Amino acid sequence: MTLTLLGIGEKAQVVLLTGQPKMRQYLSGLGFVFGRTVEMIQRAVGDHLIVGLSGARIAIDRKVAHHIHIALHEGKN
Amino acid sequence: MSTQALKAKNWVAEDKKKILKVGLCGNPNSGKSCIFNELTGGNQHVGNWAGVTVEKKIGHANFGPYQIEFVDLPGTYSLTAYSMEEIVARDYIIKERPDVVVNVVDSTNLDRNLYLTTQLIELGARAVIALNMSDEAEHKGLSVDKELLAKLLGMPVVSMVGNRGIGFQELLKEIVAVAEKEEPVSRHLHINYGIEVEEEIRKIQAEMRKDPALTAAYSTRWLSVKLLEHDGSIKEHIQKTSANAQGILEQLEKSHKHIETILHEESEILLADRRYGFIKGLLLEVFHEKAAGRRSLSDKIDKIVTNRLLGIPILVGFLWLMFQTTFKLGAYPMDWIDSGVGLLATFLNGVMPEGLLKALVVDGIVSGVGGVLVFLPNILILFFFISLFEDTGYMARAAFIMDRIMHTLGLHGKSFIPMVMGFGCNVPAIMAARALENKSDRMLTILINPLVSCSARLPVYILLAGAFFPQQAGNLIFGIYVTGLVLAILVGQLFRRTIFKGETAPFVMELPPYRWPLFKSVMIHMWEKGSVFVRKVGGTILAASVIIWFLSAFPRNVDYSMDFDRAIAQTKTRYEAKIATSVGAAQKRKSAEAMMAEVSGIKARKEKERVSKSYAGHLGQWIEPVIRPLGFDWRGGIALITGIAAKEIVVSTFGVLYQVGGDAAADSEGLREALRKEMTPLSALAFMFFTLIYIPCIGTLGVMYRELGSLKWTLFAVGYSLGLAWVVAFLIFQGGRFLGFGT
Repeated sequence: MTLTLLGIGEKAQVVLLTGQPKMRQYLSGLGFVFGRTVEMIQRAVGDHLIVGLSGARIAIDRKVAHHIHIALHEGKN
Repeated sequence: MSTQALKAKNWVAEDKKKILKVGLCGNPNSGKSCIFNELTGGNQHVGNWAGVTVEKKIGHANFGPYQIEFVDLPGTYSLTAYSMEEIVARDYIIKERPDVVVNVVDSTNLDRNLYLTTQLIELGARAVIALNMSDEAEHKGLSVDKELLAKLLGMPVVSMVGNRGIGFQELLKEIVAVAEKEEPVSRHLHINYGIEVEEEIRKIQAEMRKDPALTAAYSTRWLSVKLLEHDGSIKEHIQKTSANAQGILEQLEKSHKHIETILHEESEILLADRRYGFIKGLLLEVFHEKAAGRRSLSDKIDKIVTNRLLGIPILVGFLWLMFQTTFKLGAYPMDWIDSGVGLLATFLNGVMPEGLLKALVVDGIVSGVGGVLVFLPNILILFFFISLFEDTGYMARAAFIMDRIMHTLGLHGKSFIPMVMGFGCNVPAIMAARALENKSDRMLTILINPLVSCSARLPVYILLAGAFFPQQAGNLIFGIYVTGLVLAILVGQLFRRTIFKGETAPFVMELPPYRWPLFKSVMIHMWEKGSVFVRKVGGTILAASVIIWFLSAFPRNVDYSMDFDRAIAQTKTRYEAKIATSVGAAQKRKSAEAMMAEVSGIKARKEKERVSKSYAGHLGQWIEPVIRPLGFDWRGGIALITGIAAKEIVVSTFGVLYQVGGDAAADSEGLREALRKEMTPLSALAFMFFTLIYIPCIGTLGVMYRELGSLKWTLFAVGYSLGLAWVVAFLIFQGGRFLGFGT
């Protein structure tokens, strides 16, 4: 599933990035890499998302969020 | 290095000081600029990196026998080629080879911030890590084993609190120690990318070693890693310069295929993963987290401020507050500057001998430059708010909130800030477009920005709306502002569909936690932006004022249709005789006043005729056929031409041309009366809209040229705005006539 489907307060792990190489590299630089925990913080104006990624908050639009694939978290954080 | 040794070196004379070059790099929001300001004090200057419009800040600091030159590199997450900022930062490190690179790291966000550090390791840069905001980290219960971290990274680590002046002495000491190779912890290390990838790196390196020139200039390991990451600019560089380009790129092709078949992963993602793996391993050893509950307040604010329903109304509220304060509060200092300029002109009028020089200084320079300087308070207040929004972290939210709406207009969330700033002045607004990473987004934002009506155009609307539509002036001016925005949107859509085809860049942006703004830093940021306005616009406006003055003041000897000087002399003698014969002080004064009025009337007629025969007058008559269909005569033409220097000059030009003297204010009833005689409401309306849309002022054009980096696009902006202005004014004037509104 993709990041867009995560509910507020839920956590999951990044498993795959798709889309343009440049964008993927940028996302990796920001910390979206395999195994990282992401948390849905807020669904904001215009259906854009705010997600938590190791302490930081990243604002992201739905189109990009569709390229971030996640697996639901199991066990502890 | 010991303090003893430093003291000994302190005896070195000022001119024998050893110069060290130091680059400051770090993620956005890491507090890098704060550290840079603290290190260099007021001793810095701002310029641009060669060839690109990324700001370059250089400052100096003295430390013992050293003079250290600090370069503030743009804030980046990485050193790939994603944005101009990243390219600039990495080119500086590779090409200028600074003695030391200081990597500013946010202690509360170590794992993400250290990603940039891994790239410095790869580049082989000699670096010092500045663990900034260490107080916040402590507060949040995070602790770092500094010594161990230094050992594992091969770089000394300094704890700092940039905004409270903590850690600077130690940082300077470490910079010197690393530069002098006296720091025991410094060493060069490699990040291990795993057996398969390392094997491919070695193969590519082997191909590179066949070209000694390449090996001499760069680290082959770094080049190989970049190539594996699909780095376009490095690939291009090798294609262009390397003797063995073919061999290298063939090997690269093979390596890509090999890695993807064996590891089932794109190589650039794989490399990023391995770097994070390195960081993760590192942090497991050095990093300890005690308590949870981080960011809760910041998240709570975001719940409200970015809320689906409340987000936009709150933003509109802040903007409303900003504009109200800018224009209401700014009106006071505006008046002071205005009367100051007036006093200066009167003073110069008194002390300077009559002649060309006086005319140049008073009519040309003082009134031209003074007319623009008047807007400085407005601009500073506007920038105060913008700096406040930036420093608290709200600006990132504003761009985020507006992104969806801006997208439907073919723009990007980050285009919103330049649009808002355009209401103050288009010059800084266009500079603010630098925040957009994507080139076509940035160009589009710059090209449509002048359609946002800046404060310099307001005096023109006030004058004409006041003269022709006194009952509806407020609504009309509001309508003009809205028209500007609507046109910006329509033109943006048109350009997006024709010239800048393709998608707007996606929106991904880190939201920094909200912070209390520090008054000092808000003021510094405000002044950084405001002083750019004063310097850059000051220069162009000065030059333009002189040119316009020249055009309307020359030729000096005009063939007048009648002898005005004799008429004046005759009037004077006539009245003087009358004064002499009249009885009583009241009578005498009345006659004297009548004489003054008549004489100034003749002088004004003389001035009007002189201007119509000046170069500017000829220019006005020359373009008259083109603007006739819009309902403007040659005087409108001159006003518009002079308005290119700065749009508020339109008002003072009207003042000169409609015989009320050069210093007529926009509220002068005499000028309004004169305008009503010569223009119709319809042509005045057309004129206002023309003023809104046509050629941006010289200051704006200058900054457009600089930011677009292309004469062609700047001329394009001139062309489209002229064409659009003509069409709109034509539709208003001819359409209005067709519908039977006045003639």
